[in-house]
Amino acid sequence: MRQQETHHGGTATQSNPHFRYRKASLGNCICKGVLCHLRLLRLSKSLPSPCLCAAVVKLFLFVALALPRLCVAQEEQVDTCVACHTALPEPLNLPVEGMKRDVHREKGLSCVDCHGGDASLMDMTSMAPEKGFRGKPKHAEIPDFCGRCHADGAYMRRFNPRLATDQLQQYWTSVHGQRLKQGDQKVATCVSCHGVHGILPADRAQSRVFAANVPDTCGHCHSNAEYMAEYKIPTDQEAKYKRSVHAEMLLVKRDLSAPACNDCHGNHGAFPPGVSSIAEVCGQCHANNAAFFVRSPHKAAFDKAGLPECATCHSNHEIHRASDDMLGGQPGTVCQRCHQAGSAGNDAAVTMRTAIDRLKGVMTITEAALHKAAVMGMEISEEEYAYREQVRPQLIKVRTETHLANPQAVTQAVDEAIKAAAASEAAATASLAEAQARRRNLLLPLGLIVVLMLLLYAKLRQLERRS
Amino acid sequence: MSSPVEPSARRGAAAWFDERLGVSEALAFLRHKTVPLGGHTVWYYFGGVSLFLFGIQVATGLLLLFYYKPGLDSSYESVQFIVTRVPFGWLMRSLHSWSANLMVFAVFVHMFSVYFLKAYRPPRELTWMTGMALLGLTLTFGFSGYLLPWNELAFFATKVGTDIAAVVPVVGPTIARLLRGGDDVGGATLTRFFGFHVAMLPAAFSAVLVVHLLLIQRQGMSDAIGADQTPAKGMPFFPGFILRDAILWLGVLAVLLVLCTFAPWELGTKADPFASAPAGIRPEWYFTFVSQSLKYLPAEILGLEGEVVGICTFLVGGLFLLCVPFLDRRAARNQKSPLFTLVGIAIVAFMLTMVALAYLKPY
Amino acid sequence: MDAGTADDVSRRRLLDVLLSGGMVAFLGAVFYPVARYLTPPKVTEIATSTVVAAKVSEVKPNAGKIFRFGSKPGILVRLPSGEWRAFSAVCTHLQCTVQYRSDLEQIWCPCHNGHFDLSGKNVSGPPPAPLDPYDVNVRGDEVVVSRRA
Repeated sequence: MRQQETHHGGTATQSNPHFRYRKASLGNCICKGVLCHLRLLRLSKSLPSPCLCAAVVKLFLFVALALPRLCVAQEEQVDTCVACHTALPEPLNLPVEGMKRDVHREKGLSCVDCHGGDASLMDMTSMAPEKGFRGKPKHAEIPDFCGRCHADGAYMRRFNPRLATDQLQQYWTSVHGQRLKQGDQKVATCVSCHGVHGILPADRAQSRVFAANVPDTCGHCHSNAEYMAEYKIPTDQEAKYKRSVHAEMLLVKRDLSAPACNDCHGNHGAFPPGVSSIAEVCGQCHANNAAFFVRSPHKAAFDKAGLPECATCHSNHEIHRASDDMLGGQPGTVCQRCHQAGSAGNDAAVTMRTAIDRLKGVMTITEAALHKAAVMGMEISEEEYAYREQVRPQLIKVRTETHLANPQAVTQAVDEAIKAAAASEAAATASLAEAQARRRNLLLPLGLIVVLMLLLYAKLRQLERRS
Repeated sequence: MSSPVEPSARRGAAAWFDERLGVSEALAFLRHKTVPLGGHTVWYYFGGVSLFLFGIQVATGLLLLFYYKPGLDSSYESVQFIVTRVPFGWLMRSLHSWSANLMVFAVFVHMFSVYFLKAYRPPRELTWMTGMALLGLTLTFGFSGYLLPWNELAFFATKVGTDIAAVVPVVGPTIARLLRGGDDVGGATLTRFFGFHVAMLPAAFSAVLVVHLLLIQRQGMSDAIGADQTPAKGMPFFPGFILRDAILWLGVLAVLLVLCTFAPWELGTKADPFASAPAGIRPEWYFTFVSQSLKYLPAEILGLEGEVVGICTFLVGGLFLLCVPFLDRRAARNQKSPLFTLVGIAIVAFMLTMVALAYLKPY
Repeated sequence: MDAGTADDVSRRRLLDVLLSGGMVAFLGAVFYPVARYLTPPKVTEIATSTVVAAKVSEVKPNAGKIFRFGSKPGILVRLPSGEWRAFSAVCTHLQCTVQYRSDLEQIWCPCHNGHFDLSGKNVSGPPPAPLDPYDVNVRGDEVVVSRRA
């Protein structure tokens, strides 16, 4: 029954980590340990230790280092994979080093759970095919290797019922998966992104697939021009992305909701989004802009021309903060790239830009008035609140509405916004007027004081003359 | 002075009050009092200016009390309310803040002018000591009142101030805890500073002020050392000095009004105990001579913590000033006392330099 | 010196009259602002910890209203059941002002499509934390919102 439960081949005792090594005794340890190492020495041709001296040193080291770990009381468990590989030179000890911080190890899994074999045996028979040893999978075998557990919902339930188990299926739909099936040895597999010994869950900051680390992980291959030469696709995506506003939010401001590669391209099913579905992708966050765009004449036109919707104007990787300078009819705007001067589209663009500039002009005046009142010492936090809450959002609204590409709608929205701005400006002007009034009104009491001072002085003179 | 009212009726009312209060006796006394005339006369006015400004403080403070609500959620907001919603609230608030600063300045000038004129010499030792007490109380008024609007600058200035108080050896931490109402500056500090500012300090100040003024009235104004003054040469207190006082006070009021209109006191941003201190924070200007000089002390002096040595020096300095009537034997003998004058000049120079540095080189 | 000539007397009287008049004017100039100051203003209280967000009749079920609370906006929501809820309207993502979506029966932020459920919890999109809740009480026909203690 245990055999059916597990996926590692071999007998139940080998596969279940909680039922391992009962027979280890001191003599057994030393004997088997030394034998193990001697066998390794025989294989030493493939190991970087040609001379006998080195071999003897290694034997000594093995005895010194591994022995304490091997020599334990009867009931304690010894994972011989770990014990042996710890003592070996690079690169054979790297898996053990890596596994020190690994989510599989945290869940109680170890080498045999993936690689099969028998971790109770001290010698090379632990890695015999009869014991179910699978060894190091080939590149093309890796997805299925990991998928043996991760695509098995019933098995994964034991460890994390919430974790998805469709990664393998998704992977086969991706560019990487499809090319792997065709025999491409260079494309990414599970271990290319997640690592192999030392895999951490994506919500841990040290993980290679943690949101803020994703660009570097993808860029490891995709930014390597030499590596990617045969694929004839650009290798500047990571560099471009890192100059974008999304990268500033994710990597600098640590806003983990900002998109990295996987948020637009998909995780395991990584594929560049189709040109006619880009608005949907961007619209996951930029809902209003996408909704307006889809209702605009640009949607049909772009899709027909095979233009990548949002990315046509905003770029795909190097997306900067949109500016009003993008809108309009003159060279330098995105509109005039398609709409020649004099065309209806160009006129519409010019109308919208003019309207927005008008609004910004009014807002500048209002802000100047508010600032002046503040500088004169007036307390205008309420007026500033009203401006912040009622006028500024109007500008954002108008800018969003340009995606509808309807100049009438934009002009109307601008007119409403200007009304709100006018109200704010009136409040600021009133405040300024009050400040001026206070200064003017000061003259009266000041004058009175001066007069009184003179009168008192006159009285003083009078009284002193008398006495 | 006569008035346009019917003479007989007035005399009747005045006589009625005089019978019961003895006003004319007080007036007669005042008529005989004189103020020394000479080159130093101008300095004699600063005590009156301080008194006038204290009066402004009491009046505007009383008015502010009608609308101010102490509390973490209401201090800042109520001051904002006063300044924006209450008619002339902006004026009352600015008057109170500006007058506070002018009063501290006037009290310092008054103290130093008395010091340099050696007016503390016998028999005026008590007048001097009550005056020093009034100076201390004024500074405490300033310190406690500054926090009440609960804005960012005030919050951190209070933090710096209580931290300095904590440096005093032996009793420092206790004093700081008593001031703060706890381990940190917070709501408890606000409540107790309010209690200090509107109740405890006014009571103490008034009591000491009465003694101070009584002593002055009883003993008369002091002459400069070596001056040859006969009562005939002096200026009569009434009407000469009083009227001049009144003119000056009106002038001070005019200055205050101009300041309030053209440089109204800022509201600032509400204090946030969790925010980090803005760079270059310092207490109000009249405390900067302490905070700035402490900055220049090395971390250790002769095995003791630098700040402790600094604070103790200031305490010793304060004690010196307090006891100067008993220390200055030459002045007591009515002789010129250049040593004490020099010490005074050094103290003033030091304080001015430190204040200047605090504003020119705050970091 | 004697009392002086008739001229002196009249000048003295004039000065006295002027002085008295001046003092009366001065006192008036002092007491006028004081009197105005002491007169309670129209808005008698500062809304720091409590504010009247709306009238009951203003907000129908499955509707919301933005109101001012201190220096920040708040959102008052009336659930389809008629129950009242109130939260800080400052989105926890990038501080845009949220709004009520009656079609979704959720609170929504238009900036980056963040969704909050009717208990203020961030349920979808970028916002990393829930909206700060406020207490709501109905007093007559006024809906009063106050900060949680």
